[in-house]
Amino acid sequence: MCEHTVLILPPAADLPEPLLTMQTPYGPAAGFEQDGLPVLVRSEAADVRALIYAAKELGARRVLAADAVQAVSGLLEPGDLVIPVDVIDQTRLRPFTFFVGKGYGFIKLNPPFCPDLMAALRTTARAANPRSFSGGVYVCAEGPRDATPAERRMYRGWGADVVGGGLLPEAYLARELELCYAALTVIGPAVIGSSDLYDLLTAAAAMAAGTQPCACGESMKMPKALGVVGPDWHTWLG
Amino acid sequence: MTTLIIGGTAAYHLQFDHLATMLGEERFETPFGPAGPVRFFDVAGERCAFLSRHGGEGQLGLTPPFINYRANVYVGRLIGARRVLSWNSAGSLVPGLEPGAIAAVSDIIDWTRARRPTFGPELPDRQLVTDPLFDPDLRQRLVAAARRSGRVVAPAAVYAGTEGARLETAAEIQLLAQAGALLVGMTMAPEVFLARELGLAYGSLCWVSNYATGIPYDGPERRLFGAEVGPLLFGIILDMLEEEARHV
Repeated sequence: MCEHTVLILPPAADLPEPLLTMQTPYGPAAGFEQDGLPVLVRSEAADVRALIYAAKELGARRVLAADAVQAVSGLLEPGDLVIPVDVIDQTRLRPFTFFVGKGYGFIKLNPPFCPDLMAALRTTARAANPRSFSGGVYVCAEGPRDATPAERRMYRGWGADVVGGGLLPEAYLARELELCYAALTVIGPAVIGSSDLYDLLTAAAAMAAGTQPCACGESMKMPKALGVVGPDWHTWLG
Repeated sequence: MTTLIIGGTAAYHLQFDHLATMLGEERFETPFGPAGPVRFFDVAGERCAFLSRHGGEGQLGLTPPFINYRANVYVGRLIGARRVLSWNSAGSLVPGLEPGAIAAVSDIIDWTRARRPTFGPELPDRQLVTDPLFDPDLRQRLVAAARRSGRVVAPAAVYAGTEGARLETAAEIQLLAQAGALLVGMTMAPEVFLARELGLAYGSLCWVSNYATGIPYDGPERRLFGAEVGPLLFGIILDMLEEEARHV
């Protein structure tokens, strides 16, 4: 029902142990499989490119991710669900592209998330929790520390609603490899278990499975048309 | 006075023989890595040099995060240049500044994150970079030449430099607009700072290639990165140099 889908969850104490690892050119990606669906788990120590590479190698067309966030908007409360529609990147030290040293990678991010997956997440989140919001702007901070109150005030001035650390550069990297990607965020301190996140994401994945292919799968159309890259995505990497 | 021209968008498409009297071509080894090819040509008896920022022949070689800005700018010192004139393409943050217009940059906000912003202690005689970064006199002469091309010209503009190569999000453009930026691009930071560290004057014309993400526009989307951009901007800079030579 959810074939071609891979989930990405934040690290948590209630995940299965031990996690399986998959080797990639960017180091290992850790995860597990549940009901035939691959679930990858973010790791502070790992190169984020390993996760998206692994998802692509596993045959994903869609990636649904979750992240625990802090509220920036004063209207949000712990446990609220927010589906971000836009991002502001405040990360500093992460590898940010697959296309190192290349002449392509001018990826459009308007919006940075897949509209079809956002719509599916909106519906499933709303069914699970009436305090579900979409339309939010997500700031991705380097972390892993929390944002300070002063930083959150600054982000509010920028029009942001939540601040987290997990979704970037994942969203760009997914777009570079022509994957659909969208995310569900939970306002912390977290009061939602990994299995509940899994259920929310799989419900959205099932809903999105019937949709027609969207523009996310054509993000490399231009360099392909110009003959700058070939059809096999493995050959695109820098 | 030797001038180093650093060409951006479409510089890799330029056919120089049609545009100027060529004097030769040279590659340089710098303490910061290889640079070039640098093409030398004659303008009214003065030797000028041209470098394509992105490298590549017939197509863009390197996206902005991977350009060796330090090697490119250091060429200026090796050839005895006193100044750098450049063109950079940029997105417009204001509906009134349309794609196809040209803007002279007067100030910059550096929003890049993964670049070497200085020659550093490897260059002990580097100069302290202070305001103004952009030579006002040079900017006025670039504006006059750009106007002679018949294009719409913004005589001064604040440029925000982003890391790329991904395009900015709408939320990021909104905050850069709040900060006062009129243009967003990926190639001027740290190039301008490095030029100033070498004591070179720096002037840039931005080719407005598109509207930045989320800026509303009428009609179909325009993304103007075609081969015609090179001869237009190179021609404007040549015109400025020739005009200058007439008034020495």
